[in-house]
Amino acid sequence: MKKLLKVALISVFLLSFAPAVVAQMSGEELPPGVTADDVYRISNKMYCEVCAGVPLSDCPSVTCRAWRQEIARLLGEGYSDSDIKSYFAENYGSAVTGVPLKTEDRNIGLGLPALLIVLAGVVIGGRLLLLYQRGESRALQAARAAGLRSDYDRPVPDNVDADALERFMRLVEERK
Amino acid sequence: MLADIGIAALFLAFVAAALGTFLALYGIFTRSSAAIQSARNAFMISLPMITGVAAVLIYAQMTGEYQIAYVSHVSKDAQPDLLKFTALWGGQAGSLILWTWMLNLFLVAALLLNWKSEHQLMPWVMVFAGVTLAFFLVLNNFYENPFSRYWALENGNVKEAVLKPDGAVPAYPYQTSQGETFHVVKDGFIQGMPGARYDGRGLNPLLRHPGMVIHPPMLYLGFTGFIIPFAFAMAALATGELGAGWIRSTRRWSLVAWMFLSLGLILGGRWAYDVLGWGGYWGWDPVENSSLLPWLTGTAFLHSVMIQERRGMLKGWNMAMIMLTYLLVLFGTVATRTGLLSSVHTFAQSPLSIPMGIFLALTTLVCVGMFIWRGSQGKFQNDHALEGLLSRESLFLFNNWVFLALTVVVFWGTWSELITGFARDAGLMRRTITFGPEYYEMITPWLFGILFILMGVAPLAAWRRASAQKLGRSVRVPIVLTTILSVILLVMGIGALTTLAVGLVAFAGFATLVEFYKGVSARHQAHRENWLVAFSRLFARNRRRYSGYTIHLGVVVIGIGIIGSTAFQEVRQMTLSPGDTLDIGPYTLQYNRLFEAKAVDSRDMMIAEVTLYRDGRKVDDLRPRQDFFDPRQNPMTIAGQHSTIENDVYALLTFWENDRVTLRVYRNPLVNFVWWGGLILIIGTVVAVWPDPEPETVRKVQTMRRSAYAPAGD
Repeated sequence: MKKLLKVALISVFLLSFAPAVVAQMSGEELPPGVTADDVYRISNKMYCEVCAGVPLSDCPSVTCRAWRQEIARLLGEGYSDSDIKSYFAENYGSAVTGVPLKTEDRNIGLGLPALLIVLAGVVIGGRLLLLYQRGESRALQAARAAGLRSDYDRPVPDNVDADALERFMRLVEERK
Repeated sequence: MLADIGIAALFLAFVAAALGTFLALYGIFTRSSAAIQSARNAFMISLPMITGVAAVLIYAQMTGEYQIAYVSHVSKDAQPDLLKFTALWGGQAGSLILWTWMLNLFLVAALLLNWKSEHQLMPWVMVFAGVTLAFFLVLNNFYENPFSRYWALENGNVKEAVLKPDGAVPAYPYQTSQGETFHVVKDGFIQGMPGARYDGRGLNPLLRHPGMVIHPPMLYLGFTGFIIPFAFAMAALATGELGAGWIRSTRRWSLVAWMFLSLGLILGGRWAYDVLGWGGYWGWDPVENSSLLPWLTGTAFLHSVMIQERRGMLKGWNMAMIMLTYLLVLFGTVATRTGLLSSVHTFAQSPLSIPMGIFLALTTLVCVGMFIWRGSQGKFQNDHALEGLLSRESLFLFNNWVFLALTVVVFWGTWSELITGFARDAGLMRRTITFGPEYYEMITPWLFGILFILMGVAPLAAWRRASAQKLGRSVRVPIVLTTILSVILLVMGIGALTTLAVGLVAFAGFATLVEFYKGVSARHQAHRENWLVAFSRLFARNRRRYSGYTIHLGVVVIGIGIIGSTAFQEVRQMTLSPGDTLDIGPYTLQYNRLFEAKAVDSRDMMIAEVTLYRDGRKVDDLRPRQDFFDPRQNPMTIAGQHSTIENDVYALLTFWENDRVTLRVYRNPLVNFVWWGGLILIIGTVVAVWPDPEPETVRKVQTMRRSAYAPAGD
């Protein structure tokens, strides 16, 4: 609800300036020593909440333009890139950055998928080992039953066609 | 009248699909082959019905039947005919019709092609695909009917409704410079409102691009195509026939769906590159991600099914992967159509959230329930065990894990805002967590890197059991070539991480090329064929294997394009006066002038004229521009592009004031490799999907054998 209200407020703000968007497509004022490249470098990694994932640098809305001006102003005042991102995250919410800056959010945000990936790895790895152990025991059982030595456990040559090998093994089984 | 025909055909299509599903179920439980045959006929009938619906809608768009609300939203008189046609998928209701039509088309194709060979599975295939089809026809009929019309009510208000409200008369939209108004007589102009004309609003400007003409149908073909292997999988679950039979009969369906999904993603990237005006082709936008997710699990599935085909292993895993792919298709559809995720691609908020959410939940329950049921019966037991930890099976499983990891990363990045929003509302979290491209760029390159290693190694490993020594010998040449390339790159001053990325991609490429070389060289020596003949015969003899290698090569080329256009991308932004120049890499751009123009379709254009020089020599004239279709909409930023094999110079007009302009210029090295790689990938898939000539050959051989062994005399 809170988020909806926030989005609605920003939308109303944007709409109130809508006619100006087309009319005032002018360049942005830059403080001395700050280049458009500098502003782009930072604004390209930031987002506003209503522009559907479009980076700040590419968004034509009035709000995003004002934010770019603010970035230029902060750069002029000697803020570093990370200071500017923190400033925006603090004032406009964590959605302005591509990755959460707060440690708690960062840990949850990045830790959860990592945990799930590791879990999937454990499940798949465990299944692989289980399948392998069964394979080993069956092979050894077959070797023992056939009175073969332990060097039965020889790898299958790589250049043997798997289907041909399958057919051959079946033939051997049938002949036993 | 036209709308009435469409409404009737749409409803009849729903009746046919619902009846088909019911008859299939009835036939299964009563063992009535007549009912099953009737079910088949019902689905055959629903297809021409939906085709008729699409045809009526397209005709309405072409002829300007603007009383139909959908037509007025996506079409207008000045729109070129091609765009009037493609407006079918330019809005929610029309694109849902296309979705349903494609689903029905796939179902009918499966019924025609697999009816005899898979007669045991087909009734259940009709049930599962039919339920999906009927559900989408419910949405088409009762939630997003494309034939909803404007009606003027007695109280003077205008209402959108499928059927005529009591006492209402048709209302026709008129466009004025102030916006839209309605009139009850469809002629000329409105008294007192000069300039008002009977017209539609026209297609969203972002959709007026050749990429957008083809991209959505390809994506929908990919989405709907995966429903067929899913339906086969569910049919196998229902019948308990969980061997490799359903896998073999759906391999081509899966490949076809995967090919269209790949093509849709590539074309979507091209559209974004040309139209969205941010110098890139993949923005990790929620809707892009929603299309990527089923592609990831579908790719994993295409690899893991080979293990079941060859070794009778991973039956449960494959079942889970195709179910996951189907559920992600539904998730993607929900994401695009309900406005749950904010994106440049989403349709407006719509009433579809509740029915789609319920359908998704029920489908998930049915999938999980049936999976557990058959699992508890031991139906997923493997025919063989794993004989070596180093084998093609284990490497494919590793590949599946990486694809799954990518799926988790992309899914979480896409849905985290919604999920953490719920968690915050429930008091479990303080804030919502949202992710931008940085999140994906931080994690996914490592996972893709592992995939490239596996792409190089896995096809060289033997089934059942591979020896490390032999495998090492197989990858020796690619490793040497990769090492040489990496050393050259490091000497050239390329960063270690970029060199690593190039090395991993190059390794997969070298390994694939070496395999091609080995095969062709063996034929060349053994059969004394020339290299070209040896190559074509090698392909013909083992089409599946070498088409797979071709697809891998396509992915490698895409990988080169992605690394080149991201790691080596240069961006400059500058405000220029006429005559000023901007340098980027070896290029110099000279801004000449800014001028206004009007296009034939009445859009206003603001164009910057720029001359491009390379090493002092003029190479091109660029015209970056902004297009204004409607004062109510944001303009479209169209780049001025200069493309070569080496790189693209991509200039954007971002702002202007009097004759001063702000240009943003990108130099995107190797970006065209992304599109060429996509083309190679599609060619490889087409070759893989192409029907086998074997049945004919086998029949001939059998006939010859029969005649050869026929007893002599009477």
